[in-house]
Amino acid sequence: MEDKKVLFEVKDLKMYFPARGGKTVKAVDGVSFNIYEGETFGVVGESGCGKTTVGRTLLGVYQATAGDIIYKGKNVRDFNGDDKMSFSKNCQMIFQDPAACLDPRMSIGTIVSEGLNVHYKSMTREQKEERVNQVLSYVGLTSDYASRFAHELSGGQRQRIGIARALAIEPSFIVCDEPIAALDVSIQAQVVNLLTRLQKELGLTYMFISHDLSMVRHISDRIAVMYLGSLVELGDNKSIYGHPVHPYTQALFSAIPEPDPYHSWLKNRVHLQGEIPSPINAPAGCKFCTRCPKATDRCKVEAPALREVEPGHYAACHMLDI
Amino acid sequence: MSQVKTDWINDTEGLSPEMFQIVGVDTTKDRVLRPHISYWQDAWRRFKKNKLAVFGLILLVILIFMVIFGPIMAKHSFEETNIAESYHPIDGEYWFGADKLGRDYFARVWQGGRVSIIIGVTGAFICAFVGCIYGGIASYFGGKIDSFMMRIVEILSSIPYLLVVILLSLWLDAKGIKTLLIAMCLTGWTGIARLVRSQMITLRQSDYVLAAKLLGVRPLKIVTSHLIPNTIGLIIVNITFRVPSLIFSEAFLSFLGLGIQSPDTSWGALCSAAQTVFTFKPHLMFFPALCIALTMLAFTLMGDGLRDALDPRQRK
Amino acid sequence: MSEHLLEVKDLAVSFSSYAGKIRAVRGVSFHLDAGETLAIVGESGCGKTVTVKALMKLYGNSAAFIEEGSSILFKGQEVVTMNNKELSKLRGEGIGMIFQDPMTSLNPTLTVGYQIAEGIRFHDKSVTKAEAEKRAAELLALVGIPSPEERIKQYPHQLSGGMRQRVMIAIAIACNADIIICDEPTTALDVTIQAQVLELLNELKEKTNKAFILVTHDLGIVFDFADRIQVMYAGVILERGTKYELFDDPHHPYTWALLNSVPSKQSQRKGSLYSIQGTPPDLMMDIKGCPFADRCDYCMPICKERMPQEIAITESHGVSCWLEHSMAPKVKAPAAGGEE
Repeated sequence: MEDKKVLFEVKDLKMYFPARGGKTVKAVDGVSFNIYEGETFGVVGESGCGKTTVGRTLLGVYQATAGDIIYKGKNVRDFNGDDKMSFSKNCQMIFQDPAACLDPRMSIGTIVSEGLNVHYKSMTREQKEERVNQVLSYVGLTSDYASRFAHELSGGQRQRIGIARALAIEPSFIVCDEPIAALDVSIQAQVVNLLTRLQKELGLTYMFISHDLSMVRHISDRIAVMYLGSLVELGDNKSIYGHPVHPYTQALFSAIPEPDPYHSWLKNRVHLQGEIPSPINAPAGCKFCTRCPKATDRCKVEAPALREVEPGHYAACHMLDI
Repeated sequence: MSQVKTDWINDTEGLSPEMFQIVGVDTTKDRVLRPHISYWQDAWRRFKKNKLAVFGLILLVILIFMVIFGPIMAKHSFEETNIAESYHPIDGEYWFGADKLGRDYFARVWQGGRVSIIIGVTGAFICAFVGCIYGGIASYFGGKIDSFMMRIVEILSSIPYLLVVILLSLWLDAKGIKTLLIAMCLTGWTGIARLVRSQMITLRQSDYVLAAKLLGVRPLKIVTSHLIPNTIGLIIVNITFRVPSLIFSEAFLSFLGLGIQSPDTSWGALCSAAQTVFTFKPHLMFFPALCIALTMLAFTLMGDGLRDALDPRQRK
Repeated sequence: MSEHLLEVKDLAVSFSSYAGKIRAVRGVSFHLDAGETLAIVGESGCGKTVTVKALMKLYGNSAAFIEEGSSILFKGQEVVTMNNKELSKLRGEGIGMIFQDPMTSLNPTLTVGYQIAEGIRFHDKSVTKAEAEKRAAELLALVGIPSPEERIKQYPHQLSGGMRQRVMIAIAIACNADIIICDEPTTALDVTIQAQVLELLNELKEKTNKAFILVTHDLGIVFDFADRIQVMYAGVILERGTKYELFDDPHHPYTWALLNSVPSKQSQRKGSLYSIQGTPPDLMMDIKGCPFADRCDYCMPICKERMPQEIAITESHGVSCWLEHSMAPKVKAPAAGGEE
């Protein structure tokens, strides 16, 4: 782990949004983690846990309420114009809804070359065209597609265009925000295979945000589990899936549907009571205390800090003290 | 499952062993693509499917043709008075008869149509132009500027335009196309300004605008390359719906005597003049009124068709 | 032959659209008995939802119609020729339905109690309003909603997604329907909530003698819930069987692909997942031969020429594939876990 270069260092990141009636939505509430170069950093959690907000704040879509994001040793708050340009060239995003992320009025060629016009101004028209064809072939599409429009393509093909657009400006880091959630099962495998192949060929770093736990397990090197804006567990793939220590992680992973008629995951799962509270009035103390089967009085008042359970494996739970 | 035949697997009639060689997926063939059609081609295709809209379009083309060539086709000029032919009945010489001063009514109806349609169309375009810029600016800056600009819109749209017309015609001391246009456009752009603003705000939150932002595309470039092209359909539809309402407003104002003055004329002015002799010369009222009704119908039907054709949500 | 609770024969459903006829379901036959659960599995656009909606002739205003020659027998009665009065009796009393998105299928302006009671009173006019509301509260308790007396006075937006889906289930079972159709009942829900809802459905299954039809794209939830599974693709059934038969001995290449494209606990991390090339066929076109032929790794020339007939492997296990033919080469299903 020591020889890995840190790409992103996130320290106590908080992202609050104003809500109706003077309340605040604590979408992300004090999250710290590192992303190393060349890895796939998986972020899992149920809806409303803040995983999408973390990804977007990391890319500067939102201004963080508090906390620091340090990219290659430099705080994003201290970025000047040139830094911002190089940051946007190097850090890109793939979206959940392939239909919504492509402008219906633009041809595929124009969409893919949009970033080239910003970051590769010196390129001639022919060079840009060549680059578009090159990235289209990366994602397994022919150059014929450049003249097409988004509505002429299928869902999986649109998602490839979304990936091609991000790849066109040769980024080193890509936030994949639920990239397969809107796709059919057979197409999901195509896109995930494409992402892993591109990572190997181009040496990309991914932040893979998803609620599909089996896909995250398949693709990620390290995984962060989020619940109601907080990080509950963080570690490498093997330790998180092999021996999760946080009660929420245990419950979440036991609820992954397994296609196996002989072994019922439904009966053997860790049962959770109730539903996810709204992030507007999240419970005090440990945010999971309202549903946790092991909650004590201490959990209701004191929020547990993230602590190292074993090298590289962190969890936030009072149970680990004892 | 009783209907399932299991002996089917041994039935080799008409089958040859070559047909059972595994070839797998044919990757040389290009993947299935839907037919290549651009946005406007697709919209036109859908518009054509709507029979009522096509009917509206044809009706409009006929009306515009008559408005342009009607006064030329007539045997007399629309201004030519001939007291001897006062209230001339409909015949081969005077196709729609003649009015009190013996002017050819056929020529007058189409001449009036020019004024009505010009007011409708230019008025709608001016409103759309002002509204787009205003709504665009408000949504672009957002925040306090946006809410201030929108309050102005609310105040303007609460003033009855009749009042504006009366005040303006007093103030400018003139009645005619110009005064009418100014009066109607002064408050008429507010609707489209609101529409453009809300559409742009929705678009700004779309994933493709976010993607462009993340690619480092400058805000102004985002407006010209993403926001405006995606609002144009909406604006076109709004213009088509705006035209009939302006034509009707003009007719209404002219009917009240606040609009076009003689010898110039419009459909509204013709109706107004025909009102006094309605009981014994009903055709003088009938022709301009029919023209107003047909024009409004044509634009409304076409607008409906355009709305369905240009709505991106309807695209398949 | 004993009579089944539901028997569907050669069901074909089409939509007319401006560009031509879309043949969404192209000849589907299956049956259902009391107390059993049938799962219809397939990707979006394969016709699974259209099939179950046809069972109640539920299309709203869309331009769908059942093609001639189709037959749907519910307790021996023909559904295809039913009039509106018979249909409204069938919907609710005969067949209940749970939809994917509980927010859009509940009326936001009415309390959930009213919406449950409405169905009860519609089907049994002798029930008083108070009785119906009492029954609504009982039903909410049955589907595991705490403090039901207060909940019946609430509006859908005051409930969470999982609660709303429970309300939908309560509405579906309110009139003692014989068949409950669950159309992607957990797709819009989170993993832990999905497990809760599935558990509730499982409980209902055990407590009552109702028949269930589960429509889903998620193979993970199928094996824990269904007794029999049928795999649909482009409007036809490619393979059917009990869950054990389909899991242990799948015969159709599409079933292999579906089972292997989901990463399992055993599959190698970052390895290549088994994926299907291309995209599903355009349903507007006439499909000659097997609809899966263009994407099938085992495609043979015959597959593009003629649609294979269904062959019975056991009493309950059937498959439509040319690989079963005596002249075809014998191929083995690829091992789970993908290549590499």
